[in-house]
Amino acid sequence: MSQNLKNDDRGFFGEYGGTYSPEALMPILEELRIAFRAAEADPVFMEEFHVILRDWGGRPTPLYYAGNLSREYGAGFYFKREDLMHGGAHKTNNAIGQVLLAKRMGKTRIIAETGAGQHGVATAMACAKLGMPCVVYMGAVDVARQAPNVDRMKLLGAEVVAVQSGGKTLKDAINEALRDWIASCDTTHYVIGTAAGPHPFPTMVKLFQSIIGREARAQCLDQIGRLPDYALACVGGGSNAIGLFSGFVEDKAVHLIGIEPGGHGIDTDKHGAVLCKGTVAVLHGMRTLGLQDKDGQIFETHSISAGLDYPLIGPEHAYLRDAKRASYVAVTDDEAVDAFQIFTRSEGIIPALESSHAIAYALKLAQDAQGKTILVNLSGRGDKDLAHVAEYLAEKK
Amino acid sequence: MTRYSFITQKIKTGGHVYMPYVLLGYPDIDTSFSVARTLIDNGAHGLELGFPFRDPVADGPVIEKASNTALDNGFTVDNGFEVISKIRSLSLEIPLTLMLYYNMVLARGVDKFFADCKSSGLDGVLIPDMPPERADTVVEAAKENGIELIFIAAPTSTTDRLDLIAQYAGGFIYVVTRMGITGSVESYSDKLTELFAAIKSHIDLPVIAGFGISTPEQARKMIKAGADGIITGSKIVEMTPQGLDVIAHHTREMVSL
Repeated sequence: MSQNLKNDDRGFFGEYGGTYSPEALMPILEELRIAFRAAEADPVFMEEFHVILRDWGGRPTPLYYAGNLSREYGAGFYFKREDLMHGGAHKTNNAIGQVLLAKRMGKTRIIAETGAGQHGVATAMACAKLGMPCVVYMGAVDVARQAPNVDRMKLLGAEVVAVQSGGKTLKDAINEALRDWIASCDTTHYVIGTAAGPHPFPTMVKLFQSIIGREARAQCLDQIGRLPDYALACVGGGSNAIGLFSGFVEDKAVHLIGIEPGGHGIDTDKHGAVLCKGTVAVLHGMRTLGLQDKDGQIFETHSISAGLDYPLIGPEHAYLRDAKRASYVAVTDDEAVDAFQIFTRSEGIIPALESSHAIAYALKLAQDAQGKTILVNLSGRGDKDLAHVAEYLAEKK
Repeated sequence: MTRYSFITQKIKTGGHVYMPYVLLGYPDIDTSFSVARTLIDNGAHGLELGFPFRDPVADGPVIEKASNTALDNGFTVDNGFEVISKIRSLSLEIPLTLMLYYNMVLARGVDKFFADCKSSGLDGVLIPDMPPERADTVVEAAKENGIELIFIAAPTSTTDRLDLIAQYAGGFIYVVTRMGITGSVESYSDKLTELFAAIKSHIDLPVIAGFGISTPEQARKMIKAGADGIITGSKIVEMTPQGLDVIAHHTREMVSL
């Protein structure tokens, strides 16, 4: 498995991944690939990355045994507390890694896209710390539904550009950020927030997020005395999931399950369950799976969670699915909101709506996994979602 | 002998060529056909025909907005190929190049796509998000159907990349004359002359300048710097709502530089 999972340096995972970008970007992607490989092999760079994650980012994040839920559902629930990381989500790992790399490359400006705003906030924080100007592209719909994060980004000194094209969500924000980058790549680094995009992004983002899985594995052995039976994570583009999975992919007894946004249900046209329903697509610089029509026009997706609202998927997840090393399921908006409330009441922790998808599936899974150990990546905290959930619940009444 | 020899001949005899871009289906199929006819009637030496795509990351806001209009008005790839056949019947000699994003090729199926290109009378295909590294996925199907693959060269393209492009490129080289996306912002690279010369020394094809060119003055600058011809993209899209007379006038100006 380890050989297969390691991509060659063209960035393919089986048939997925690679580099499908306009010519203007190709030399810059090559420059980035070389810089990334050198940085990853440089102990000084990696040491700086880890020291910042520790002293500024608050790592390692704890592994938490959810006693109340475990007793109620009859399975052992453990949560990897990425919600406790500085910034309130796992996104900080990747943002600080990429901004550090950009500085090392001599870039003087940072751009990013954001869906829920977590990656935008993480990038704005990293730029504030490392002294780089930052522009964040965000779909206008997301700007409205994630207002607190917009305020945070502005406070941190970032410029937030509300993208008015298409469905005005994450996909459109990425399109706009790519355009900026094509025009500005001499001076600018584009910090992609998920394990997607052209090579080397999926590999680079995985490296920076793999600390989640490495810590979680060691913590499981230390606190439980063995590995979990299941490792669960929500999947939008797939960065928190690939970070967690990377720690367990060699442990074949550990079932890896990614949870996609089922929206109104995956048999409706309002969901974002790419791995459940998608077909092979090329967009945003990669060959992957996507939700699209017969002419190859990519759909607008729907999810209550802005961070999962993306019609494509990181290429390595498509590969893990085909290789049957990971499986992927979907939960609906309603199920995610239920889990959001159950978890909050039961454990005194408000999870992000994204992470609530993984929690929802963990609760379902427990019925067939009595007595088993279920590890869930609690990828972010839910403060940003309070207004949105309140509104959703009011509409349901 | 392909129809691209029509432009190479013209260039050899000291002329330059004008190959405007038409977004098919914008604002509807019939209008885009009339636009193509107007361009041909007024002397365009070739056409670039675009299929609208919802996520045109290599294009600017003008083409993106127009693409969404075309798709909202019902454009499909099937009617795209139908209108190309009609455009071909207007002129049997000028080269027609289809520009579309890779995902649309993939969705149709590579073999069927290139067979459709052939039967509709196309001469070449330009896929802006398919770098030469990925050309191996389509090169056989293209060859089998006699379709040239057109590639883009950019100011950032290294000489190694130009050599790689040369391995797959046919027809002409579409040169991005400024970094960035299609549109009409005036910020040309200072090193145009060097750029055109570098491309010509590595690739034996006509060098046609595009991206950000909209006026005859800009076009003249490009030709002076060594371009063999000009493509305007957003310009025709922008002029389309103003009517065919405006397009006809512009075309005559660009053809007779």
